[in-house]
Amino acid sequence: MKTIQRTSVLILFLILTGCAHYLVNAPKPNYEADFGYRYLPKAQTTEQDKIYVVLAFSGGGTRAAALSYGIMEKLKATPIQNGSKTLLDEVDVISSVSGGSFTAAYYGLFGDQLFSDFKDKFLYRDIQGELTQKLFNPVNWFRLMSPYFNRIDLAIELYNETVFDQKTYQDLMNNGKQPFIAINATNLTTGSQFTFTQPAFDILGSDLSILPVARAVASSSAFPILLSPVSYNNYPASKGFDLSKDIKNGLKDKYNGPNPRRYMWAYNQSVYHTNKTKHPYVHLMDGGLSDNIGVRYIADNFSHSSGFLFQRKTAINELIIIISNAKTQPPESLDEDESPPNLIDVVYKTATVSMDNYSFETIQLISDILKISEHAAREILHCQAIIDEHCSSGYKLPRMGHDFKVTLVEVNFLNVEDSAKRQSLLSLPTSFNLSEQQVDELIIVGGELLDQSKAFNELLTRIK
Amino acid sequence: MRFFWRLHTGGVIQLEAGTHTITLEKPKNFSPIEQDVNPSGTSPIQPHKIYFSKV
Repeated sequence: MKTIQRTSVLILFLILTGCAHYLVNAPKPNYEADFGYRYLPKAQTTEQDKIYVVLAFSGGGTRAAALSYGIMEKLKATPIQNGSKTLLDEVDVISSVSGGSFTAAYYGLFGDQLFSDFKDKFLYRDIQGELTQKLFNPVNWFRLMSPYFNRIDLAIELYNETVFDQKTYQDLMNNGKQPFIAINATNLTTGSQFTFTQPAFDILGSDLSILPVARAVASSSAFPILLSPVSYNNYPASKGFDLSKDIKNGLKDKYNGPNPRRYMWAYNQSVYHTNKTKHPYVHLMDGGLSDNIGVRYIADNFSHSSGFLFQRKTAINELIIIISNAKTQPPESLDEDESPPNLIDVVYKTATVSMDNYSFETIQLISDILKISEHAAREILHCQAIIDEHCSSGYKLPRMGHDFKVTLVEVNFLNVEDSAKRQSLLSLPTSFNLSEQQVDELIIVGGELLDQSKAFNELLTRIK
Repeated sequence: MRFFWRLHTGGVIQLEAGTHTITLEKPKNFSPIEQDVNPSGTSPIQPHKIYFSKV
């Protein structure tokens, strides 16, 4: 009898652990250049559509999701072009990381339902508590014993079923009118940014369209140590696939060539095509490890010749980049103690210090790129004025090929004027459990900070 | 590479350093169909010039 019982328990154990496996991404045997979730200029783009808006949503758990929600709400409440549309209608691309990816993905999937559903479906919820409950469920203990099922898979199930209604990238594609949503994670092996788009999945020989959006969002927000990495298969190359011209040119220039940064970008992507034997899997973690602001993807697209900023089909007058930066500065007490910080503090600092430093550098990077562009336009105009003044030949210098005004706005708690309120916001924790009052305050602050931005107000006077 | 920014003929474009493959949008009635360039020492008023001929 005991033998039967033991055998039954063993079989049950094997069934429960053996069946537990993370959702595997699908292979794509044949490459199709126009297939899948890749950037295309908005279908409804017309000659009159002269405004190009890009949003970047940072990481920071619910704090970041609520701040970016506040910005979206403000854009929706901002009429432009004599009230014929709102600034939210003009958003072309949203690049997001970690907590900000929840807001971005939800808007991409459900559009304006964001403003009626999202608070209850995500912002007001104690997601951390619900995840902990799942962890304490004995059925999940067996599943977690499987080497192919981790804590992050429980989170994916929770997000998939209760936030994103099991929607996939195919659903995101079907929403042709919504902006392009670039959800960013970090490749643990290369340390580089991984953006959930079909071109990135083409390199893996995989089909993004049937992947649940929840899995991408979970990859983007898998904070180190608290959550495990999310794994993806790297399949044999799809028939007919070849690396893009940008990647090939980047590799051709070598590391010691004119652009080492582009070489590394190209190399880190190409190895998943050129050396599949060595890289049969890709493990992704929180996007904040490679860029906690979501701006690197925008900067790369501004720089790389295949980037979305070069694919616009009509001329524009205004390029608007709005960054939702939910960075905090909690009061530090480490220096008050003579003894070295404990292991938990060291682990936390190791995970976040470089993230914060890099975020600052990233915002400077995009700012510098835009300044160089503006400077070039001014240089041409200045030289032309000198020629016009001193030469009678009527010689005309070439004009800039793209001639538009750039507005860069960073929404950051450091810009809150009231010092007590600023300190309170800068002390908010990074978690998926904030009170309704905290969430509401963050939403209001997002709108207020946008409202008080000088650059934003100058923009509105031009496009009202 | 495809440029859709409604570039005017003779317009200056800014690219990051390195090799770039330049082509034009349809109709493909020009030659060569694409060109690899690696400009250096350029400036907005002294750009690297790329020529396409209509065929």
